[in-house]
Amino acid sequence: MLRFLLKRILATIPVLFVLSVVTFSIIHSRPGDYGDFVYAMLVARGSSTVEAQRAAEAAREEYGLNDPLPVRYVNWITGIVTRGDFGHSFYYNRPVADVVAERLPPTIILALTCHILATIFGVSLGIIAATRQYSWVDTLISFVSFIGMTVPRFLLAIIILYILAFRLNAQNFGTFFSPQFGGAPWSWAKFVDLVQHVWPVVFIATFGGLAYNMRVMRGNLLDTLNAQYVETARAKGLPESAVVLKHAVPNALHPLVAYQGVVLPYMLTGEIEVAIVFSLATVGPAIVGSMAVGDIYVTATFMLVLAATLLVGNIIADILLAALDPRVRIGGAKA
Amino acid sequence: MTSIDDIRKQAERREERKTAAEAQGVSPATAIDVADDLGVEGLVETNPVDVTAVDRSDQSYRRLMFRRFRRSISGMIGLVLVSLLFFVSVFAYFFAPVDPKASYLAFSPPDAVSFTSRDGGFSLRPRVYPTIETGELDPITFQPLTGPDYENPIDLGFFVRGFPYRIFGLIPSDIHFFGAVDGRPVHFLGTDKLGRDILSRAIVGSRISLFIAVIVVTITTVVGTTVGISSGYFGGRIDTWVQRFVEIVLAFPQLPLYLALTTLIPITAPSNVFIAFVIAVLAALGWAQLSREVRGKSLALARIEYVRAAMAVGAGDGRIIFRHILPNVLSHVIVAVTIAIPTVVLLESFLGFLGFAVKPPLISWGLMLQDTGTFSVIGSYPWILSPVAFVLVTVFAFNALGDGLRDAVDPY
Repeated sequence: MLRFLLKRILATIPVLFVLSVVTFSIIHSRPGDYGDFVYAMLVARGSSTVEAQRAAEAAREEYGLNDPLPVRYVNWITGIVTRGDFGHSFYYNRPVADVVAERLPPTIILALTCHILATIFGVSLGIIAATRQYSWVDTLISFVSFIGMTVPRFLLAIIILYILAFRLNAQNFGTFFSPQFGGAPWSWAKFVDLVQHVWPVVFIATFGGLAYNMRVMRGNLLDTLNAQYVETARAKGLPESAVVLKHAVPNALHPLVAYQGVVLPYMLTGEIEVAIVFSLATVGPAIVGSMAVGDIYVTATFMLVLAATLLVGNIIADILLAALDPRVRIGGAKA
Repeated sequence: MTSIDDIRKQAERREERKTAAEAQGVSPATAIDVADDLGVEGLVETNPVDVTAVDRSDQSYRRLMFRRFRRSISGMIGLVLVSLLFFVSVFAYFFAPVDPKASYLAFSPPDAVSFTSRDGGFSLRPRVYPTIETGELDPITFQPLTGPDYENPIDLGFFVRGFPYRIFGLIPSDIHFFGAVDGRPVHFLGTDKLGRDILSRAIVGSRISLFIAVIVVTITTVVGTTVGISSGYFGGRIDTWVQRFVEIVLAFPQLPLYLALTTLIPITAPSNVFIAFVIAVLAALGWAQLSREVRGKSLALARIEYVRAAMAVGAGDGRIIFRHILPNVLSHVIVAVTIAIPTVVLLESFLGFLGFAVKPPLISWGLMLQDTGTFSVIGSYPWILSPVAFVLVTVFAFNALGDGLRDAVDPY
């Protein structure tokens, strides 16, 4: 098991390396840099072009933007590996690590919440649908899941935002808390307030993931319900609920675990899309914003961190799968 | 209880038939479906060879697939909608009631079609009352107020004369499917911030949106299938390296990468170069997932008897790939294509919403959604959200079609 785990973790290192190179080069090859941003800003504020040019040069010099690309990459990556220093955000004017540390946890917590909710509801609905195959309940659930899979999340977000903001006059979104809970310690009221602020994001992101999970669960469970050991369990005289929940469901679950590698990026993207529309202070808007002003290290770090999150998620899914299914373990050790 | 029993039995019977058919080298789906369509359960079990041998002559796999497809209602609805969508976008200027590039009163609300005249009398001919500036000012903001002009109703009709255009860029015409009888502008969905008709723009914009989607999906499909088949068929070291590469491509968080790539596009590029960039960006990652699925299929196919037999008689790699493997993965690829088109349409509109759409002389749904990013604008002029409906319909139509096709191709 340890061997399998180690192999799996070591395999991600080259992937991460390639990811970082590609990310870095993409972000650097875009026309214009932070110096240009400074220049444009100063000119817009009314300073002379010569002066602005000088300020832009100074900014480039200060942040090492005049070095050749490989040098900058090596500097960046050594900083990350040795000092945990992801570079300096020109726009926020503080270390990128701070910006990421501020934005990433809410994103991951939100995505995880959505993920857990989507799994719980998806699996339950899948069980309900599979045990009542071809009944109206099944049809209804399948229809809902079709909608969930096809309705584009960001369009749904725009529509919900419109309804909330202009039809219901709700004001609580775009932030995590109402102002009065600013520095307040955690309390029930604060939690309720949080829920009031983030529920549209959670709802929309959950809806899509739920549909995916439900589909996979329904298909798997239908397969398992046809297996002979289920028939045996029935023949023993077990009640139907025990047959389904004890014998069929555990065996239908593990393809779902294997499927998490696909669901995870989907959930994360969903959270990002919806957060961008609602401009909730998570990773999504930060990426878009940093890209617009050419704050390269922030963008690169976010992309790298997101990729790493996905890889970690996949490893966790693999571990779970290996724990559930000895065939995966043994196969992994052999290879 | 009984229902589950029945299902189980059915599944077992299917399994038996499948193996029997496979032994004959017939596509399992075909054999079972022949039996299903003929309603000869018992016959197949006793003598599967006869049935499959007899019926293959006049019922091709394709026809059976279509028969199965026709049974799915949502699939048929999807097919109809998709055909309609392509038809409308090909003859976009015929269906657009107003010139999509002409500008009129900015942010004019949608004109409601009414059947009554001002004094309440009923008229059979539908008409709209155009929005004009009433000459009054808002008491608070002193902005000119707009309202319906009851004096000059615009009569509506089908096949009316309007702005001139060219069918297929060749045949000049000025006939429009519907619109004002006297050629005055009507805005069924209102106008945008520059006073351009939203309905007409959405209809004409479907061209670029669908065009981008179709081209992107063509590229990703060709690349994905080629990579997948070669990787799965040749196996060995090529397969290992290709799969490692695919893994890396799949590990990228897609959305941020698309954003990063779109910012690479030079702002000064002419619009056709710009659109080529957009297509390249959207196609950059899409092929990986498909190639993986196709690889899995061809990996399995390369070990099936008829492929081995072909190898044994000395058929070349090209022949085996094109004659034996490609046709078998094709159904999967077709389904993947129908599912991929709406994702690209969606991506294009999302990038548009974020401000990375095609450039203005061109019209696309993404570009139209660019203005909806501002809260205050959608608050005051909600009708500019209406391109959302077009995107939604497109996404639904293609997904329904893809779902139906998937069930028809692979009912298990």
